[in-house]
Amino acid sequence: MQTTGKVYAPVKVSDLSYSFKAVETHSDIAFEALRTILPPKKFFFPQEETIVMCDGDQISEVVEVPTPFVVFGVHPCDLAGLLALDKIFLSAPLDSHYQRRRRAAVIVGLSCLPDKHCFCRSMGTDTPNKGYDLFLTDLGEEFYVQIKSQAGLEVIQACSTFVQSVNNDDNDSYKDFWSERDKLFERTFDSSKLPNLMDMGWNDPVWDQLAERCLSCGNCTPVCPTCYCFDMVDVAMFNTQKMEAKRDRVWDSCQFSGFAAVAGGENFRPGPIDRLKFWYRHKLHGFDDAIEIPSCVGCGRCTVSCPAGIDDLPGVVLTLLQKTNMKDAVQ
Amino acid sequence: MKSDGTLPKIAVHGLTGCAGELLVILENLGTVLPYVQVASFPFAQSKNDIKDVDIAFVEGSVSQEHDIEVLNKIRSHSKWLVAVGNCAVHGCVQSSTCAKFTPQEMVESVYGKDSAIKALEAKPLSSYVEVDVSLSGCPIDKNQFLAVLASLLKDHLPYIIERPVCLECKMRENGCVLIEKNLPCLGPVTAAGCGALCPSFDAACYGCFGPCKDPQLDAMTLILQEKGYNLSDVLVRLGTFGIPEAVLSNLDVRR
Amino acid sequence: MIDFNATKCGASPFLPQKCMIRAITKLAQDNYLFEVQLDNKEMFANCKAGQFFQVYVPGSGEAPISISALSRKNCLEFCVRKIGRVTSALFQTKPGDWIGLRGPYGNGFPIERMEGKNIIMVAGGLGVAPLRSLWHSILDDRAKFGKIVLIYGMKHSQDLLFRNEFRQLIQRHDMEVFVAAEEINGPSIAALDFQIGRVTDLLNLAHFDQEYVAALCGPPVMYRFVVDELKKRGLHDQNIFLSLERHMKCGMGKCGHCSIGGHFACLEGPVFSLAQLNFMKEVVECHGPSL
Repeated sequence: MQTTGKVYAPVKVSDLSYSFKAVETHSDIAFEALRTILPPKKFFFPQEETIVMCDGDQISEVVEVPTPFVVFGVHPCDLAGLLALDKIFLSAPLDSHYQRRRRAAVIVGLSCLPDKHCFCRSMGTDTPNKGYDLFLTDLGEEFYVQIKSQAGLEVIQACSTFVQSVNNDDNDSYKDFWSERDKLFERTFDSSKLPNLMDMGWNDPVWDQLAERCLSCGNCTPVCPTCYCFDMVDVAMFNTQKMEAKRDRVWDSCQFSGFAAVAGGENFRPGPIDRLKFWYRHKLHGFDDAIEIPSCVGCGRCTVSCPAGIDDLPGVVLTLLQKTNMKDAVQ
Repeated sequence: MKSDGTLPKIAVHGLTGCAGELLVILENLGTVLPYVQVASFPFAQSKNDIKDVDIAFVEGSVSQEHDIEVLNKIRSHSKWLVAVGNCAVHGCVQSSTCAKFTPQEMVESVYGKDSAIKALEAKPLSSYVEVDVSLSGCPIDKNQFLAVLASLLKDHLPYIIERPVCLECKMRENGCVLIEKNLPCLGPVTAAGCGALCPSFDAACYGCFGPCKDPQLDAMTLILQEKGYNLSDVLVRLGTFGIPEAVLSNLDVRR
Repeated sequence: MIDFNATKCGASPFLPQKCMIRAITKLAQDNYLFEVQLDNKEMFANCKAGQFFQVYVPGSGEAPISISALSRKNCLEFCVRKIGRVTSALFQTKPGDWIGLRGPYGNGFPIERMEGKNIIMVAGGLGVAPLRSLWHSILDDRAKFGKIVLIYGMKHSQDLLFRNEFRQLIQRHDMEVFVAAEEINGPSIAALDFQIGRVTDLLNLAHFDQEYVAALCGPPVMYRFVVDELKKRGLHDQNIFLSLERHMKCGMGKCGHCSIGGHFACLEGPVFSLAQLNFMKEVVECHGPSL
């Protein structure tokens, strides 16, 4: 893979957390990592980037031409997350900053085994259908490799001594792995009911209970593979002889109190409850936008990243399903 | 450069504070000197003139009669008045939100019963004069300072981030010390600007940039109490670097 | 899956177009009219009444400002109130300075659906700015439209915008014009039929019925009362159009700020029919905070 470019893979960064970071050797990689703090969206839609520069007379676009790189160890939920972001940033008018980075990347997927917070199976994002160049399924002694693109094939050709063709036994082991994996999910529900559920449960007291604890800290959104909201911040600078200004695009969060406020002071989502419900609705009902489907991929990052413990999405869904007499959707 | 060919004048003054902001400004003076003339900076130069200043930076809280005089003089001679640092913006450690003693008790315990020193209750600049820009921090962040100055030199009000530290912390991809280590981290209610410095070194944020916009203090105290911290300690921690009474009075436990 | 290799990497849609400020006119305290030259013919040709531009002041930022008029020589007029950080910076500019423009964004008023119909326009405060581009379009093609009523209300009479233009509009016989302020202060306005009261009081004076199409622009609190009144007169929900103000940042449905219950005001709006709004969440203008 290193012949392709710099390789990024999950690395252990604290007792409980992992992060996609540049790696040099196989031993740097935390193969056991289930979820990284930030999803791989950071490689394409970075936390902070300068998009426009101004030198007093000219406004110019900042064009960063990335060199090819590999993101290794992307689980199925994160593949789905990237596909959701593609729909936002690659629909017209196309975001060239995002597109350049997306083109430069080779995505190597990796199978995983769910923990109690995972619910990708319910969201239909649990299988590696698309969005990768290579996908590796961990069969214990060896990896079962699926090749989806020319870029993926080239990686495999470069390390052909480690690869052999698949036989029937391998195919059986592969199928066994995924069907055994299906049984490991603790909580499941029928996601086709979600839009309706969010409409029916819009005024449920559950939101008041959650919002009472909400810190409006915005931890839920940067960690979400499908959250894409950003702010653009203009900064005056002293960089050169001529006083310059730049415009940075920075991750924003709908949970911050100024997110929906307009100049003059009107705030269209003034309280934590308004903002929390807005986010939940986006995740479980979907905006009425290009994505159209619920935009949650079931990775469980928000659940483990919320200091207030109010982002247990499957828990909230199951509670609402019980309350709204949609019990048949609880599987 | 102004239309008459001269450079805009700045003034840098300290009231009651630790001079932390003055140091940050001093350290970055090299960057700004090509663009401004330092009319007054008693901490750094001996010849000072506070007349007709374009931008005045004032550090420290107001806690003596003399501070009020100096502050009024600066205000009346400057176009833009910038409160720098938590003392000037929120009153910081010496202000009443944290202090459990009256100014008189404090003066007596430090200087003795018959001291000639008179102290006022420490207050932010905005309690006495109109402040155009408030840049918090203990001490302030140098990049924020440079951006504020660059904006004001264009006669633009600067953008100052009011979002919580959690945003910067997550962007740096730190493990959450509030969740993973049960530390009493105030990141969710504290204004960003520091780049999540403390949590990046596995320490809890102790709120040194003051409150973020619309901080959810009730939720914060609730969650810290659930982690075993007692309420009075949490309140002292929240108030250490100064917090506007208006913000604190929203707190349910205080009502 | 979107094939992200298919299209070439184009220019960034976030890049503002450099434009020169031709003139700045004071309309009222803290309300200036900026005339800006837009040399990009394609951008200019796409402009429609009710759309907005992101107006960029280098080093300060962008503010979404609606088109107040399309004037001759490829100029756009923006009526701006000094209300925030960026608009304050904009007020520091002088004729001859340049600013940046991105746009036009949003849908604008559905003028094609107004053709052949009677029209009532209701403006509150600064809401008169985008509506002005609409009545300009209508009066430019007067014969295509039926009867016209224009109502404009504000809090203080000193905040009256487009004073001279209203003086002329009031003289016209082919439209009914009503102007009211809740409080009369500042210079008196001769020859202007100034009422004391609210927009809703003017609605009672105006002659219109259920056959009218309404175009509204003003603060959320005005909408609630005006919509009530229009509905009482029997106007159909699909014939009542409201221009909503939201935190529009990118202008292309990507940054998320202007979402109204999942609909982007910058793409689908800012003009919505009441029939649309009835089925959207978070529309404070008609329903209160949560539907």
